[in-house]
Amino acid sequence: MKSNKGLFYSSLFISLFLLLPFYFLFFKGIEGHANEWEHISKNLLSQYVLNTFYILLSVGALCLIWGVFPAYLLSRFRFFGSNFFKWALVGPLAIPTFIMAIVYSGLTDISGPLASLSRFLFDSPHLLRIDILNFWGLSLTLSFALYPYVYLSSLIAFTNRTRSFEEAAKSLGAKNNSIFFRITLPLALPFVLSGLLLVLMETLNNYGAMKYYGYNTLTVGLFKAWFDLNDLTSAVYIGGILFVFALIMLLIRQGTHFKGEKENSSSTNRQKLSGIKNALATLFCTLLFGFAFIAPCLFIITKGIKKFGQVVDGEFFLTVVNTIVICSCSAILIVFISLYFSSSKRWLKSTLLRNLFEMNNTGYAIPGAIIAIGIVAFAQLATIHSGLLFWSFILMCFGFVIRFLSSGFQTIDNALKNKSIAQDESAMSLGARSWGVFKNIHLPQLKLPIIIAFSIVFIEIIKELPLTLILKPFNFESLSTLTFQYAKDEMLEMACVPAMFILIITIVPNFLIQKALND
Amino acid sequence: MKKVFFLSLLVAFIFGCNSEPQTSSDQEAKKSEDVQEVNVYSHRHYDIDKEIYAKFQEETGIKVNVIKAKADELLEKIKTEGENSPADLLVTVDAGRIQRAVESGVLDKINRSTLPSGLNEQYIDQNDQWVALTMRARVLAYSNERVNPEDLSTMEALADEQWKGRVLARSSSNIYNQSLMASLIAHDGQEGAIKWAEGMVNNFARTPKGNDRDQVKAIYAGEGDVAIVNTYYIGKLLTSDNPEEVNAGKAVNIFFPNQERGTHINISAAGICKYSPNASNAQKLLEFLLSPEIQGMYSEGNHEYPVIESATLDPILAAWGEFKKDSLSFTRLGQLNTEAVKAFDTAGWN
Repeated sequence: MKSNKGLFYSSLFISLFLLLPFYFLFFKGIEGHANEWEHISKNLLSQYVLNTFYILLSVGALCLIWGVFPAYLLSRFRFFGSNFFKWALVGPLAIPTFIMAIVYSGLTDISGPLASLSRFLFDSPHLLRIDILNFWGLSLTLSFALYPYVYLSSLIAFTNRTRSFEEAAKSLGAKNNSIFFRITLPLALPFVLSGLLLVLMETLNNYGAMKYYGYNTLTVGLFKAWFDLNDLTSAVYIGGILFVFALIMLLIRQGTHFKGEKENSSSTNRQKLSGIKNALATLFCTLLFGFAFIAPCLFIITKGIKKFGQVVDGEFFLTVVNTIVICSCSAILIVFISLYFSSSKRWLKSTLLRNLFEMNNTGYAIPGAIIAIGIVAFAQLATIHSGLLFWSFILMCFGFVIRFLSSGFQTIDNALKNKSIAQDESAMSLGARSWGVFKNIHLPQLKLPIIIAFSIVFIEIIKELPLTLILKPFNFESLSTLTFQYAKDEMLEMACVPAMFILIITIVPNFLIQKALND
Repeated sequence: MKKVFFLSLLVAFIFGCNSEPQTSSDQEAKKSEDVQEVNVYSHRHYDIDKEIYAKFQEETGIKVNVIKAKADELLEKIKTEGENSPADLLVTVDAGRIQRAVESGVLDKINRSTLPSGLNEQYIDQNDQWVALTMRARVLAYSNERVNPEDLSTMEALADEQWKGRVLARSSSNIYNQSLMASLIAHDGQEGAIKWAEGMVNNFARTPKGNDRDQVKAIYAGEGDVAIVNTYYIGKLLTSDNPEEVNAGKAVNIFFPNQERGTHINISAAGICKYSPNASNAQKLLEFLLSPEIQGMYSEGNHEYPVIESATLDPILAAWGEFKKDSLSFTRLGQLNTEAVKAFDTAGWN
């Protein structure tokens, strides 16, 4: 396949281009002097690193429980409500972590519904109240917002990847428990890990929720160095540590490869649970769905309806349109680039490209504000007027691609990896060119992953905040920036109106994901 | 079905671009045709600002374009955009950040002579690089059940033993706290300020978290007795349409600490950008924002103190009465900001 020079250089170019803002930021950073580094490393750094480590651990562990367990239940068994939960448990994907965090604070604070209920029942607001503004509260709210990534990837694995192995083990007399831990889980591991990776990266770059809960992680520290201490160089150093965290996680996942082939889901019949097992399975799913989705949604919707008239006007609908347009355009762009990258990875087998793509993937762990400032620096050098609507729009798309390429790329690349190379080779031996193979063989087979990638990326972008805040043009608001501004101004109830629209809009991509999964 | 989807996206895109009135692909062309506008980079995102800008446009025909984000991010954006920056006016919600803009060299002089009269000297930069739009006081909110106001005196005294386990404050990453700390460094020296912060950390009812409203709610919930808050958040609680928030607001009274040297105050301030393409419009907007009528709107709409003496005061603020304000220069607060952040870190106030 030596004729693929064009593909190689174009992939190389796109990949390097997407890394551009990082170079700019890097050089901007190291040309300065780290005045406050001594203060940071002496007083703060160890706390940042440890806190980051702990929160990754706790959110990761919780997401594994909320994600893997119901995915296994729902792919293997039928119980009361199982068909409903199968798609309903993806729901929390629509709630931005930052909103989940403030909504939970609103639910549990002294003027919230729990306190009112407690006042009504026991004449004291305190009996039913739980203090949520602490490490465990933070871990829990973050895990509620993020577990769907693990759930989705586990569900895919359990539904059509591990079944025949389990049946073989069963026929050899293995018990259910040992099949799960010795066959199913190890086989599904690469899938579970790619879901977990997204969770950990999201946790790593989260700023809003951490700050609100008073929990100092590396990302919080990065902004402190940059803005509070006015020391970009130290911020770049901390960014370097974040980058290392992200790379380690990527490498761990790289080390696990799925060894089986995709199965034709021949035996899709799920075992029916009865009696106490039925009740327990239903209870678990109900509680998870209730806490992660129903409770925050009810809060958002009741407040949202109450304040609807105060927030919604002509300008608000423009905001809705803006949001949908920018999300769709960026998501389509990301799907294209993901297809391009995963194809060139497959055809070219170039270590250089593979490593570069991994670097592109780390964008997911980098806080949006950093990417945004890198892009502003780039725009400045390219003398692009970032204040102009058209260019702001392009720059925002550019930023989203850098930030969320990983979500799309992982989905599409995983799917393409599982297509047999032999089929490509036989097509090539019949005279097909690589473009033809891609168009006629891969593309039709990738329809579902493409829909899933588009939908996930769309949801990611609609929730995105810091990058949009910095790169948006004049008089431009997205639903997410509007939510943030109300929340920032301590007007939680008003913030629920745009948050409610985020929920409504994400029904569409959520539905697409469900449909793709069912096919 | 798919075609319909993409087609509708396309339509939405075109619609989205066209309905943006100041569509900018032709922004420069417009400028040469002398369409009047002013571009504001603002950290203020209160609804009252939107009303005020609309009013300005109505009265002058000058369109106000706004980008709202944190002052830090906006300042970084202006610095990075350099000479190409479209920003005319930078608005911050804190003295420390406007001073940082001065130090970064992104601001130009304001024409002081055309500003409305009645502006206290403290509220305008000595080199005319910024002017205050509104003032807020950082005060103590105390439980009217559990605290005798006679026990309250100064910010410093909150670090005393008698307040152990009773004090509430938000994180030190909050700029209002940083400016408060800067004022304490200016008055008590670096060591004194660190010692104060250590005493406060000892006295905290809980680790710093949440926002200003949350501190008041924590008093209402009985988690602590005294909180450091900005005046206008109390106003917002009292006018909330959630009855429990109003109750939280009513559970506290306001105390103006340090009445000997004056209570620490902070400003929301604005400066005209160095490469401002519409500097004269920015100046006009400033004059408008400082007019007594608009100052009154700020006060009533957002419970902030006006900086022009003749402006009407919000009734909630008026009910708290007059108080002596710290006369420390806001420039000094800005200069001490980094020291303040470090003092918090040293004392372990997260």
